[in-house]
Amino acid sequence: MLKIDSVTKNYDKKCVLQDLSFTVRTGEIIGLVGENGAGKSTLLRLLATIDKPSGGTITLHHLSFDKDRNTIRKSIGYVPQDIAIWEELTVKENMQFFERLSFKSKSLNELRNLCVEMNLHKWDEPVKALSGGMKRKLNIAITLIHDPEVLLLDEPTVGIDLKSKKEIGSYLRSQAKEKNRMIIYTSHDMDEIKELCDRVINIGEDKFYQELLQKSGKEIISI
Amino acid sequence: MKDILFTRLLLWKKKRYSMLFWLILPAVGTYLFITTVSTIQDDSKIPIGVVIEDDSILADQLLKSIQNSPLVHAMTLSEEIAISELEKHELDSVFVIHEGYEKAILDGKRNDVISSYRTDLSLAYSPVKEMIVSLVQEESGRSKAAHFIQNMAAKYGSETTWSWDEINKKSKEVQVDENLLNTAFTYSEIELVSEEPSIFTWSTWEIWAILSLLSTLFLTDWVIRERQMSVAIRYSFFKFSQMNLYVKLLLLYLVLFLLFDLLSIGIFVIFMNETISISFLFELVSFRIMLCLLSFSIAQCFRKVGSYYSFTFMLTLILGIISGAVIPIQGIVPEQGIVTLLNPIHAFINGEITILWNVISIVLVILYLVRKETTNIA
Repeated sequence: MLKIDSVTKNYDKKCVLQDLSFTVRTGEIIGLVGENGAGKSTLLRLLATIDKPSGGTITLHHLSFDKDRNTIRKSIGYVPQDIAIWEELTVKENMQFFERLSFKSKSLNELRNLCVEMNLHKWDEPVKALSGGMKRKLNIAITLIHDPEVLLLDEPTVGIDLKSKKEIGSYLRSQAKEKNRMIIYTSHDMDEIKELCDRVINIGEDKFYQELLQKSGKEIISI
Repeated sequence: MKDILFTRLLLWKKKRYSMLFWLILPAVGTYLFITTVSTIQDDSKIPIGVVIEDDSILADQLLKSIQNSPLVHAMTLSEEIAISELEKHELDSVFVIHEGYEKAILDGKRNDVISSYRTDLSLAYSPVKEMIVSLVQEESGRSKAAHFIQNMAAKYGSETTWSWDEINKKSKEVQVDENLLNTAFTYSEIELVSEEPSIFTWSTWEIWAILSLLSTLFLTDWVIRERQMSVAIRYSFFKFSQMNLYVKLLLLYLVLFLLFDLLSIGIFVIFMNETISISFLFELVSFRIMLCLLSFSIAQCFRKVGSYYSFTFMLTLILGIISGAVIPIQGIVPEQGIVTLLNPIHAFINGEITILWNVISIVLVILYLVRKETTNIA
């Protein structure tokens, strides 16, 4: 279980996140919604251990994010909003590059299967020749190489076609249900959030998203 | 290390041409620079023709003395061809060493041993003629002395006998040791820089050091590029710690540079007749380690590659000038002082092992890596 307890984040004197508490259970998909600047990406960076909270604690199965950061990183998969891949390499070379430096070793077949599961078939194609949707899929596939227990996705489907969005959504759902991953997901697409997430957390004071989602019957937590 | 090498090879493969250019620049650039400068220097020498009618040792020695002069480019030709070239103004003047030159010199006769041809456009005739006359006088004086010594030895029945060559050799030693005119001006309390006036020549390894500095700095731009790229966020999720990763990358780049340094040695030894000693290899390795570490430290200070490249050019230019590798400034910059102390390439171009700047670079790299390791945040 991932537990976020009274987490606060300040940048200089500006408070970005204040007294945030919630838990994420195994196999659960959590949607993070909120207006721009509400702190969704900041929260994901804290959960990805690439930023430190100003106050409060975060634990994963009682392991502290503060003290056991290096151990926890092995269980974290972070998909940044920007596509973090080598544009000049092919899909295969990108997968090989990150596998060699990953916490977990995988065979070339396993790497290829990871891409195929996401409907990413252009194995030998240079990344710069791929569509936005394909790049997004590769961005996620690379993050999954070390089989992380917690998957954090910062607007992973922004700017891509509906078909790719659906494919990514369906793949993430299978990952949560079949592989018991905890998934935290940010998006501005409410249809996607409604379809994919088990619970939704509304960050910030704006109630717009809360009102929009109430009719869908999802559990909405405002913090 | 195998994993790091594999991933780097993937990246290097994609930019192999630019990498190869910068890696071979020090060797090829130095070779081209030195050969071009030598050609220009040769072209700027006064072309003269020498016709040798006397097949003797002394005539050959005179020819070698003329050819060794830094001011003239002497070609041995037949008289007919030499005059033809002179008429076409391909030669400034022509000097004929007549038959019986050696005999005349050994007999102490100096008249009519050499004759010359010139034209109205033989602008350098007078100084060249004076130079050759002085060389002949030198030879005749030396041989006269040799004959006198040999005659005296024979007359007084000396047990020790000296050959003409031995006396000739000794005479040259005395000439150097007791130079008649040796003038040097220095400021008080400043050590004399050089006793021998010479034409400025470029040193192969000095030029190589400057080009190596430039290429190493340019090839270390990956530090800035990768930090600015979106993939940098993934570095936190690698099996290696940041310190471990950077130390291994530095080692890898060091080995790569050393391989191309071996290529430089090969080119210079084969094509430029450079000689390499064991102590020089130590100097080279210490210099290369310093270059890698210093470039890495400098690259850490920049956020944009554009400003890093500008700095790189400026630094190379300044160090090239104050080192005296590119422009002859010996005597302007004091040999010992803050300027040389601040110059990281000074030790290498002065034939010393780079110690001070290696220590400074190592400290800078350690400070950076420790800071990175303790924060461990992207």
